Amino acid sequence: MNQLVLGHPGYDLTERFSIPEEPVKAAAGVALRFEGLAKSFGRTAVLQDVDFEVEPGEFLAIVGQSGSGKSTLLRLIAGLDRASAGGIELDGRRLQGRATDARMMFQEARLLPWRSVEQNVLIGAAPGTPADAARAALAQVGLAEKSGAWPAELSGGQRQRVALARALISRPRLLLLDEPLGALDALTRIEMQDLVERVWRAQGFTAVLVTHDVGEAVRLADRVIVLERGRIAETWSVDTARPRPRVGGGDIEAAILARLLGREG
Amino acid sequence: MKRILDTAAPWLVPVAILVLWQIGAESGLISHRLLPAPSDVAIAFWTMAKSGELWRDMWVSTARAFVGFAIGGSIGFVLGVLNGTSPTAARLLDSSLQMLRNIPHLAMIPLVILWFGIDESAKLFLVSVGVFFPIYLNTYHGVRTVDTGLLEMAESYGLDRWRLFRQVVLPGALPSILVGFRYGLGIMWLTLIVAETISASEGIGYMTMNAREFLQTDVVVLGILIYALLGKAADWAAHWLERRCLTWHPAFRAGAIP
Repeated sequence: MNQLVLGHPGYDLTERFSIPEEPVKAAAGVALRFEGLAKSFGRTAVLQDVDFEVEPGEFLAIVGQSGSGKSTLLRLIAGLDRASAGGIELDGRRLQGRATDARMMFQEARLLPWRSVEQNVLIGAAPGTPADAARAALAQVGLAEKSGAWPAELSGGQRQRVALARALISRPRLLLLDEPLGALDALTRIEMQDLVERVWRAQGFTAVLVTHDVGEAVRLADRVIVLERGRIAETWSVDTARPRPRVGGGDIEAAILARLLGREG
Repeated sequence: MKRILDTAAPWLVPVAILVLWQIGAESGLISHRLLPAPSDVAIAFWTMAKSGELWRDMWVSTARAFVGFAIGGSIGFVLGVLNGTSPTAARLLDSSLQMLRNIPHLAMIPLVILWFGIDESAKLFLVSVGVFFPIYLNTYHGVRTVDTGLLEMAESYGLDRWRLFRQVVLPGALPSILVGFRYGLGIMWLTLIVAETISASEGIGYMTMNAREFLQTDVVVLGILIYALLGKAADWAAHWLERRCLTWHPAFRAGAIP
């Protein structure tokens, strides 16, 4: 059964989503460095002693139980929260305030309900960007025909695709994903994983994905960090060649799950 | 046939009442001094409309109402936005405003007459104060309850303050602001009726009070009907505005609300 999935090349997404196959630019992604990063809310330490480096263009996944600090780490990278100690460097420059190179996708799509899909995508671009750019970004996620619709008329998966287009329109060098696929149904989720992987490969940005789904982390990421009580407990490299099988992350998935579940008991 | 009956059904009772009223008035069952026949009201309308008196009074009353609404409404809106977006301003102003809110504005009439006399400004002041509170409260509430997820998204996407206000805060607060708008319109007419009956030299209120002096009950009833009509027109306008501004809102989609 597993063999069958592995042997299957997977349906080609280029048929469904017109993603321009551009050569990956070496400098497209941002290099990230955490140095003794810590964050506490009041007396509760949420993150401690996080030291880590992310290569430009790398796909990093962060897994951990709820309350392990994984979303906080992402918010620190985005500059939505300020670190209590230590710091983050982007391309060697210390991050101060908001990370302008970064775009974030949230658990919910967070589209403005009073703006059309196209107008929502334009939120991600500089003021005065023509609507054509929004339509191009929408075509990238396979939603060109929905540009005039209201967000309320879309399904959950379509809304997240609009959110992805909004994030991509400015050609970010760092994409932060805060469990954006967590609320989707299993099939839509697989489609979205394929889409995220394809745009990442096409555009070459650095991606940081926070997820509670170990399978998703192993399927998408080059490296997987396991966070436990605010500290990096383990780091795994995933060397499986892409495109990867949609299910069955093999030994790594099993090992990470065992670690997470073992701690729970 | 059934369809005609269906559309006619809601009108049966009012028409029956009108007919009974007319019969009662003509047979002398209802005193003419207390309640004029519907036909007399219609005739009063016709003569006053022809002389132009009616339109002049309607125009004066409507202008008063809307000038007062514009003054009170814009102050309420600005303070609502200010307190909704700035916690410092809210701490400073909101509790004072909430205290003032508990004073029925019509109770201030004796004081208002002392301050402004009985001329135009007294009426405008009363309407403004009456309209201020529903608009202030609903704007404040609307701004405060804008989805924090959207605000955070806007922050992470680097929207400047003006774009944040224009594209996120204001549209997010708009449903609530329009509720305040609609309440304000109701209070606007109510206040104006009371203010105009106290003292006025023109306007619908003057028209009815003047007619009372001469026992012209038909004109009095006409004045009441005109007030009702103006109030209904304002409500329609508010409803139209809601549907226009909130096309994105699933609850205001065509067919959602009659």
